[in-house]
Amino acid sequence: MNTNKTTASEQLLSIQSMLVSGHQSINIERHTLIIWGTAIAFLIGFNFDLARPFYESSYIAGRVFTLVLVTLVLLIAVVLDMKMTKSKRRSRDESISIVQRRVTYSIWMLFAFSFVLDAFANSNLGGGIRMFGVYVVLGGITVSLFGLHAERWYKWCGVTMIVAGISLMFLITPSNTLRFAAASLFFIGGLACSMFATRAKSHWQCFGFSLLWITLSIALTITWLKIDYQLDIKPVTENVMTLHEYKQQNQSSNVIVRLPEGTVIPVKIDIGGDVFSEDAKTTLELKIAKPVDIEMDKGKPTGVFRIDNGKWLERSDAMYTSLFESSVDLIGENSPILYRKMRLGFDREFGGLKN
Amino acid sequence: MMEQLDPILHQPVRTRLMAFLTARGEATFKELRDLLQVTDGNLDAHVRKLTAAGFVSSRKDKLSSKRVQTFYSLTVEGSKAFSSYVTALQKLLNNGER
Repeated sequence: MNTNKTTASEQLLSIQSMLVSGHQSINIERHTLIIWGTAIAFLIGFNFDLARPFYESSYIAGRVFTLVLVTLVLLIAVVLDMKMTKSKRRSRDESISIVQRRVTYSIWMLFAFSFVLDAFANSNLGGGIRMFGVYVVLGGITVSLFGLHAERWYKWCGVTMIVAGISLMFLITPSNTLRFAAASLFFIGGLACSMFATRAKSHWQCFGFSLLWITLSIALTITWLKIDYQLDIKPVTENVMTLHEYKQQNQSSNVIVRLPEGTVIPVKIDIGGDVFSEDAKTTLELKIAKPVDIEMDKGKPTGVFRIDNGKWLERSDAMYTSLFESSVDLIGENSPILYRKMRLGFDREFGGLKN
Repeated sequence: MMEQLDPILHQPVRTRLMAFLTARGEATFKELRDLLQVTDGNLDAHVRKLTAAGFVSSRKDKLSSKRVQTFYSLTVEGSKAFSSYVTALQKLLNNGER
């Protein structure tokens, strides 16, 4: 009986050991990390700039272009990665494990979903600059997932990226800074992680891990210091005029219109919905506290502006909104009161937006 | 008690091979040989036995006119048999402890 028991115990131990080997069977190829790092860095870094002309023509055109671009780039990455992986495995007479196929498939879905979410839902619901941090967290989750079934270094790299992503989400800084910090984390991070690929020598693994840490530290420091990556934006013309002069003249050419301090800007508000009997329209008059120069082209603002003779800014990169308070008082003086406290800011130092 | 254990599976190399395929899904001949550290002939003999019993199936992927890559995986019958074998081993161990 003892012999049988020993044999059974030995067999079970060898089964367990083989099951562990089978589960830890993800072998990430170097090219996979480089391809995906580059593709995602490209989308984060340039998606918005490439889509901008389409957004200017129409909102829908911008969204459709973004979706087509994301689909195209991710598709190229998937096909290229799949072809190269299959070819490498064949040349080494190796297979791709089921775990690897499933994890890879989940990751494709995860990134495709996030980019679509960013392109459509985010613009309606707000919180755009937070997405860059979310992408880095997703990248970290991806690397960690691989790490659970492969080289253990990946797990720690993934955890490091998750921490960096969360930090990016909480560091309030110009969107360009966040965008390029996130893009460089993917690009250099992909290269760094590729150095841990199986069969890599230990000194390459150490170099890769150090490179990842250096990139993370630089990205976080730049973000924390709120260093602005934005290239010098300049209006096409230097022809400055008052709003009154602008109204008088032919509005076909590029001009800069100066709105002096104290100019009242009526903000037309039109709120409707299925709960209200009819759309509520009102005008809110906001007075500007500092002179603002706005570039106009063919009667429309180009999006380039400056405040108080400061640096020229691009509207889409420089406007921040912050909702500080939102409450409902059902037993107000005469009727229920909805209260919204909001702040709009164009200051590059976002911290200047105070409650 | 030992009569209850499947004689095809109750062999160290074949048990390990079946366990690895259970977790990994499929593997090539080279991967199995490297993992189990056996010779080509030895592995071939074990794979043949498992294939003859209907526990393992193979699929071939043609790489070129001269080269074919063979992948091995468990059949449904193989998965069931292996699961029953592990249960039998656990029972054996538990009975021994009483």
